[in-house]
Amino acid sequence: MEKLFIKATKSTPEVNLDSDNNNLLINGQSYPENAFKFYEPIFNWVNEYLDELETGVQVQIDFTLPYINTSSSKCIMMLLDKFDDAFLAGKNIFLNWYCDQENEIEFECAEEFKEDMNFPIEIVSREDN
Amino acid sequence: MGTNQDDLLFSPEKKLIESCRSEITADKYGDNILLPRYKELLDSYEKLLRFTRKVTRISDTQGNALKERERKMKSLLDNSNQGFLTFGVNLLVDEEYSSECAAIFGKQIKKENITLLLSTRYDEQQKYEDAFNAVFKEKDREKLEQLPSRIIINNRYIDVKYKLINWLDKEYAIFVILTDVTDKIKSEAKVKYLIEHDSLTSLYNRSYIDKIIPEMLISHNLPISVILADMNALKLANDVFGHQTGDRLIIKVAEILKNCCRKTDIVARWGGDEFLVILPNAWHSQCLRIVELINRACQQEDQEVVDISEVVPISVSMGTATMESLDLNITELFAVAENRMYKNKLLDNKTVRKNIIKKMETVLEAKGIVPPGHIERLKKLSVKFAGFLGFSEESVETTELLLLSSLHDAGKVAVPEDMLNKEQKDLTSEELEIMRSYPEAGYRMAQSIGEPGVAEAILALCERWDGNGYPHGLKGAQIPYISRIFSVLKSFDLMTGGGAFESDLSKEEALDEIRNQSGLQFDPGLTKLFCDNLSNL
Repeated sequence: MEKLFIKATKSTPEVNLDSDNNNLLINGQSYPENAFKFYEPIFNWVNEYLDELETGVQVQIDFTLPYINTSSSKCIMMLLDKFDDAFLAGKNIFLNWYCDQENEIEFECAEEFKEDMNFPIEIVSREDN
Repeated sequence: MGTNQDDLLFSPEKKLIESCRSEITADKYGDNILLPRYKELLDSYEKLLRFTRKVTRISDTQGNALKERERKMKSLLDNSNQGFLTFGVNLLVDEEYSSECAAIFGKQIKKENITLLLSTRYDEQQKYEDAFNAVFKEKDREKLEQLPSRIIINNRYIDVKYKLINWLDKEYAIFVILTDVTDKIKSEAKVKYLIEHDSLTSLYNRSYIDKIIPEMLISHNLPISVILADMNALKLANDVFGHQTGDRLIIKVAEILKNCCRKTDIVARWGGDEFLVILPNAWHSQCLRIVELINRACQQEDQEVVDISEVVPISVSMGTATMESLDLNITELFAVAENRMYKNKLLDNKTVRKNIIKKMETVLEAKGIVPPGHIERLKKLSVKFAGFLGFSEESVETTELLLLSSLHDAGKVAVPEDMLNKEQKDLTSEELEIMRSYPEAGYRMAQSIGEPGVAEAILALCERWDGNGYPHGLKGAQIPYISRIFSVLKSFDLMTGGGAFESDLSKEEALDEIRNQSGLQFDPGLTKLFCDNLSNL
């Protein structure tokens, strides 16, 4: 399966979905004019990846999302739902959600996303701004 | 985040879900074919509600954070003491700008045309408009650098920086940073003034002269003349009347020099009591005319004595030199002027000293510090008694006695006039202390005109033979001989007063008083000689 890499812009995060290493990374602010259009290829890639993912393979997901708008929040929740469903189906999924250690708001938002999810999400403090 | 508020916000939807769930649980529509779709719809609605609640909370949190961040950023900009504004292709100032902008332009500037804000002149406004239009069209940032970087707005100096910025991917704006540098410019000018000027006289100082000399040495300025002027008797003013009086004299000389010189001349305080004038395009004859003007102005000023402390004459010794070509070194020019100045100073010194003594005598009598005729009578008596004691008229002793006649009370000019008019019993202890310091002031005055012997004699004039005098309580022969002689003469003349007033004692009465003080106030030997031989004097 091909990797998916999307370069960061002012309003969209860097996306690096690496099926070879089973490492999925989203890093940066997210407030695109059309959120669904931006996240659609990611949904498609994740669907295919999770379908092909063998049970027992450890998947590491890293999110760093200092600011996301409401539409992006919906898309991120849709992604989390996909990971949660896969986890409930027996896949080995783990997510690190990185927050600025100086920014309480980021932690609060990460907690909101974590709520109701079954798969392990660890909220991790990061030092950089 | 407020869960309570969240519960209230979504309470109707929550109640609806609960009601529908209870209907399904109660198996009320168990055989309805739409029930599976109804259940599916309810599950989806519940999920949607969960999502909506979550997104609302996240959105509120992030919105608040953004507002807080915006407030902090604005506060940062508002407190930076710089004006920040942006404008787009329509050249109208955008809504957001820092509060300093309003202070600089003296009004709110939202939607104001930037060109009208930057200049009140039509031609300049056109230039700004053309430049900004070109920048937006060609994205040529260099055009912004060609605009004036310092302008005047509302009589204030404003530094301006422009930057072309890319707001969004396609939209450009020009970012303007305005800094009010008026106070900085003023303080820089003040610092420059202080660096180049003497703080007491406001004349140029030596460091300015050092800086300006290379610029002055050009053929266009030839011939260049210099005047070096050195104040006379400044030490006397400082030592006797204090540095305030000395400073006043320095300021007066500075004023005279400024008034007598041409506008193109550079007048500087060269040192403590030295002044330098550089006169571009001045032949030596012109330079000498200015020297003459300065001398006359000093004499004029000297005649207008209104205060005791002004007994010190306003006098300067001057030396001049002129260079007619650039072959002569400036140091050599100064050396010539300096040599001439010192030569003149030697000649002036005698006149200055004579003037001081004469002026002192006049002031002492005019201000009633000594009785009328006292000094002249003492001079005559001194010469006679000195002769009786075996001293010739040219002897050091006679000369000193004559000078003592003139200057014995000179120290009193440094005592406040109201104190001099009081009886000794009416003086406070502090006033008495000041009063009793006059021999020291007289001592300093005599020292400063180069009369150390007379100075010592003045200092001891209030000492007594019995050791009860002041300032040092000297006793007997410890008191200088000249002081002992003069003490008798002075007392005799003060008592007899030349016979001008009824209150004056007769010669016999005065001699009795002097005899009574023999061995107490006066030297017994000198008292006897004076009293026994007065009729022969």
